Amino acid sequence: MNRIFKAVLLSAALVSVVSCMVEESRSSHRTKYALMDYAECSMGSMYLFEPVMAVVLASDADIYLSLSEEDRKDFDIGSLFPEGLRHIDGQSINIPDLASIYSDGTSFGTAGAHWTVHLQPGSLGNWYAPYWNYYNFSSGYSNVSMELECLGEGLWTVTERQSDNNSGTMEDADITVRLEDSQDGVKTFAVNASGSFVEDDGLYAGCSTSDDGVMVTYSLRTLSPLSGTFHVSFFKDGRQVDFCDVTYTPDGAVFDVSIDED
Amino acid sequence: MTRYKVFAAAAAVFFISFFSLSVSARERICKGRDPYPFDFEVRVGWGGVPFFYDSFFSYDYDVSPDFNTSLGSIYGPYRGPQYVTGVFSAEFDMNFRKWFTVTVGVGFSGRYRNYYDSLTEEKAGRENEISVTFLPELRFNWLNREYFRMYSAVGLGFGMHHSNDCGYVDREMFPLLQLTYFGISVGKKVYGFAECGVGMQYTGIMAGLGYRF
Repeated sequence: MNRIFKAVLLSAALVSVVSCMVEESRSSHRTKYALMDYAECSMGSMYLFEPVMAVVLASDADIYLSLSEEDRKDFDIGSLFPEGLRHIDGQSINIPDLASIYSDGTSFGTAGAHWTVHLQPGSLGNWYAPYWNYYNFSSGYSNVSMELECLGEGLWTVTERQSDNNSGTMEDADITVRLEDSQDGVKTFAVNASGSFVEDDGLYAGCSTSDDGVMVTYSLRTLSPLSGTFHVSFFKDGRQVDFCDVTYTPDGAVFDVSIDED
Repeated sequence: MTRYKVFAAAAAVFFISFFSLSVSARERICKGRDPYPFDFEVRVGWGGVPFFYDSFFSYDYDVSPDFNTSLGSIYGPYRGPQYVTGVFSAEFDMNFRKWFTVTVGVGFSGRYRNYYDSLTEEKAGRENEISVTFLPELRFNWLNREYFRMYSAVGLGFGMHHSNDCGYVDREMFPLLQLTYFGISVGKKVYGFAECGVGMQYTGIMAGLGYRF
């Protein structure tokens, strides 16, 4: 039976000379734009923009939750939460289609405070969208939950992040967000971050910000990175195979990628 | 190997039984009636692809290389061109009437493609598939002249396909339905034929040569 089947396979090999191509080759997905996309939209959202978004939402929630019951009645909720607001309990609120914020009973700006911000899928894409790619964010299709700890006045760190994105896990993440300036409704944050995102098959990406961090402004539900460099390196089986450095300027991001061709 | 033995045994029993029954039935039915110049035919053909090559018949959406949600999608292997052999068939036909023929046949087809590493662009794997079919058919010759014939056919049989996708092996047997909605043959003793059909043996156009005796 084995000989018969081998004869069949040999016949198959011989007649393959008459085979014809019915489908063209697909192209590799390892392209310059794929690395740019992953560096800014996947790693950038995990390590830069989601933490800033969480700090902004928690700060706004802190303003509201610190009001007395009397003051809340007269408060213009729309000025802080254009989307509206729902109470989860006395210390937690939900912003429809955006996020839920859970306090520990202490003010968000108090050293030692631990707050949790739960971002809903797709929420970040409405705040920050590079002109060349609107959709591909790590939270685009996943729930993301971050625990924030206040380290002192205007300084927070992300102590834990959870996501139902099953493609990988964040490891060795060290993220701090510092409020540098706040005036006329515009807040400026400095984000310092380092860490990695590990997937299966020996693939992972490592990242870090320049020493001064990445400066990000927030105004009217819009995040705008202004300066700083975000370095992302790509590894396979312990060996670095690619890199993508994103340098932010007021006119947009400049990319330095290990792949030259488009 | 057990599955192959079962398949081979089933095919052998099926063919021998069907062939024997058909020949003896033909002798009883055709004895002294409706003389027809040729009792039997053999023919070989090539063409079409099996209907279950769904990557061939369905739109296989390839996500843009610039839109990736994971490192695996960036650095995973990518597909090379796909090749198919077409379907090779051989059959034995028994003419019961001028308008009615019973056939038993076998078919073979293959498909393969390579995968390439995104970093080195070297071959990273291979996907191939072969299928073997056994198909008895009922053929209706709605126009049957000395040198010219037009027909349609319907067949019900079974087949087996073996695929190997980068080490992942899959084998399965499947029932087989084949419809030939239009066929034409030209020639008397030695003839050429071409037909259009759809089914698990082939879909598209098949052509070949035959011999009547």
